[in-house]
Amino acid sequence: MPRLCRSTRRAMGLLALTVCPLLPAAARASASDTPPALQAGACSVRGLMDDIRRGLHSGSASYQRYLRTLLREAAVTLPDAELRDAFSRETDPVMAEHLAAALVARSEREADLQAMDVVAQRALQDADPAIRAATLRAMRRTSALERTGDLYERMVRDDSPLVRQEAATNLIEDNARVYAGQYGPAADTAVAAAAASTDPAVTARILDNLSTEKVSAESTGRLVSLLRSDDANVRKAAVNALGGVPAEQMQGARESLLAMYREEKDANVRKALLQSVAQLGFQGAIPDLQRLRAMDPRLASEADAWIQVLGSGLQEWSLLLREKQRLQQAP
Amino acid sequence: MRSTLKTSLAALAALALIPASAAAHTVKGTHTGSVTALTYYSSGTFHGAVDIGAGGRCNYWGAETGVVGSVYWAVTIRTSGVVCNGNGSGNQNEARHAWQSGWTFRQWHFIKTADSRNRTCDRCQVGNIGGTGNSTGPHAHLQQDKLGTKNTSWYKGYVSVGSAVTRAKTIGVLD
Amino acid sequence: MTPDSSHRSAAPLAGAPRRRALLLAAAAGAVLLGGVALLARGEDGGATDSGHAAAAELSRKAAAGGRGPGGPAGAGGAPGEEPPPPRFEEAVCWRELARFDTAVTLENFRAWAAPLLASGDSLVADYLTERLTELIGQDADRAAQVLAWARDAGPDEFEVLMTALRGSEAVHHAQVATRMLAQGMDATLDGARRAGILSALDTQKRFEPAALDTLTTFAKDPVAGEAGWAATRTIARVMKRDFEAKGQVAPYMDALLTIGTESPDEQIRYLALSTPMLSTPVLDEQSLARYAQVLTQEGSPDGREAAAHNLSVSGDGARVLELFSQSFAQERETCVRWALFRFAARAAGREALPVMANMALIDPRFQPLYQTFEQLYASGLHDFVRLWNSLPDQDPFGCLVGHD
Repeated sequence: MPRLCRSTRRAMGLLALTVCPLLPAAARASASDTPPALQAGACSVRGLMDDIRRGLHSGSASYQRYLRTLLREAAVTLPDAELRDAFSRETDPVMAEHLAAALVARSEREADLQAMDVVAQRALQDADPAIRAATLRAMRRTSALERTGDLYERMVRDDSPLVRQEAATNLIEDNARVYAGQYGPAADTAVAAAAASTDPAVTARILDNLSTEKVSAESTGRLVSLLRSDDANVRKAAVNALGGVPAEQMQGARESLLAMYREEKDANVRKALLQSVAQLGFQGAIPDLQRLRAMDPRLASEADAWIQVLGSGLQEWSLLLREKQRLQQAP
Repeated sequence: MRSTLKTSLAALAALALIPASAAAHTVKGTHTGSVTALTYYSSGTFHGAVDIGAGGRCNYWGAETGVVGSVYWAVTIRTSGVVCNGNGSGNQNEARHAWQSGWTFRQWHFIKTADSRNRTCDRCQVGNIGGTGNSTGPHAHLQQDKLGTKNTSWYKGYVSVGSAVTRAKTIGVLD
Repeated sequence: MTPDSSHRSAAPLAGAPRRRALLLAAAAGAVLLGGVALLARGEDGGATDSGHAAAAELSRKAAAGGRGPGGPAGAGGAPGEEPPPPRFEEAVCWRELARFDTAVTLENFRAWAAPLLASGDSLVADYLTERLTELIGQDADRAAQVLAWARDAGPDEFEVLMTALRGSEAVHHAQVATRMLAQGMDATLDGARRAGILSALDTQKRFEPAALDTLTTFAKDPVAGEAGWAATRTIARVMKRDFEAKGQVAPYMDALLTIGTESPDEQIRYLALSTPMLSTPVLDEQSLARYAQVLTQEGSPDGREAAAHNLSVSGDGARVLELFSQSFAQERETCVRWALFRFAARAAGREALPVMANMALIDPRFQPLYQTFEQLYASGLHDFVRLWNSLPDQDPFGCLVGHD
């Protein structure tokens, strides 16, 4: 109906306004009744960057997302030198992140395996923390953990707390989304970085969110060392991480955790100990949990919840965790 | 994995200048060809996956991993030579990505090349489209299963038997 | 295993789909969006032709040129054969898209989007979908308008309209969802269209009993076809959503098990029986009993396998173990036996080993597998998913690939 009214209006002039139903104010008032001359063409680095800049200023959220994706997808055939040059000259963090993501895409799609190196260098060396943070974000959910050597051990020690946290997010998300915890070296990189960081919030966050099912014995050793940290959150996170170690290391982890319980005064750390003991033993952990229960009345209900859930006989940790949470949320 | 993962990531997403992408993964075509089988073979036997034929063209198309986005691929080679029309069940070359909770995406039957190795990539080539394993012609078999039980809901509606496929074509979406 | 590969030409089918294939070759095509398979009309539906000339020209250039190192690694093609296409396709950039973005409204959307849709560029199609979702917003009337358009839209436009509606906030208005459900049941619309509409209900946060009932009755109807399949999948997906938001699965399990046992369509039965694995519910007494029946009475082996899978997570692992033990002896299909064997471990962990040892006595092919499981448990593993991922061979009987 609106289309008919538009053409009718043009044909009949103002008279048509009385004939056509009232159009929404925005459409009527808009000077752009003529459809845009949408023409398909080749993409260029310059053209895309201009579009992105304008889009960030006045485009819809969906348009901004489209442009970002388009740059990433176009990157495999865009001229390498021009892309690298644009990236090296870019000082605006948002634009730098877009260009970095494009270079990273060239690596990930295997158009140019070295392209990511340029981004990693900038992450390490740029004077602007906003740029360092932006380039890290551009490497999120990629093979970066395999290609950047000790970058992450350094980035978790960056002067800027924002940059440290972005690095932590990469370690967490890459292990979860790219590897699903199945690739040991990536998890080891995360543990090493967590241990190297002097920011307890960073260390704790990484270890609280890491699947350790394929970590090396060396990583497990690092985690055990962190059990002695002065920071309760770090101790708790190390406990959490130890609950998930591979079969070969489970016995050692269990012993370290059980030994720790008596001297540990922090209730949250003790709570984590109960959880990790449960994870390491499943049904076989019930006797341990009963003993630990006796040591701390504050955590009696927590121990009981684990004993009940383990007694259900479910054979997947994610299900046990889920059922325990449902148990404690029930009215 | 810990339950704290979702909350902490959500909180940090707010700090990012550019919004993170969604969790679902799109699967694109592995090569140029057409869909030759879906949930059932023409004989009626259950298949529960997507077969993309190569029209008889063997060792020609690079076998691109279909999943969009960087994921780790475990490549298992069971047949080293060029095989186009099958060499028995269990001999297929496989590229496999394991998700959480026992979910796995698998891609089969390609011919071994220098590219056939474990690695993390976004749509890379892991061999050439061929017929290693239980196969009557060169094709790519794509499936999603949980603990070995096939999921048939990820490809339905995107392709039907006979659909033309290119690497730009969406084959399905993994939840 | 490709049956009939000699009967299918390598080139896309003649006519409209062929043109579409050429247009698709121009697109870069990849967006990470939460997806739904909307069952729009198939490839033979016919694309609209207007405004695709430039894109088609671009795609012909891209496809014809041997630009850069391309195509297969180590190509084994015969001499004189057509060179392989470039490894990467060039992306398409659109002039005036910024103006489109600013000036598009719900009223002019269809007209303005048409040339973009016709081009076959999947990236821009994804953009159009998201833009339309923004335009719909929370407005129930706008949602209704889009749904009305979907009644006669061509396949590409239909996909955009319904995906946009599915992702909008307005889809959560009761009146919008009710209308979609009604349209899904409207027999004057063709099956593929209804399937797409029912698929777009899968972002609902939950289903009321009445809606579940309607969907269930419809899905198991012998003439439901594609739409019945879509209804089933929608139930499973909403169940997952509701369950993760701490809702109850019982009504959904009841629905799926009813469809899974009463639909005459084997594909729909399999879908209904298997998709609870998206949520991994702990089966209650009632669901356990119903799945137990499927294990002995379902005619298709894959349906029985789906039952074994879901039975392995229940409130009564001992009972399930006993059930598997009995079923194994009577089961003739190797792949179902393999399911009973490995899911016994999922049901009861290390305690399943004696039963599994017995299965291996009944069927000696399972002897080496028993030893593997025994070793894995002895190494200290408990978690079944870890065990599964540690198996040297996840497919000892070639069940994953199936047999022709």
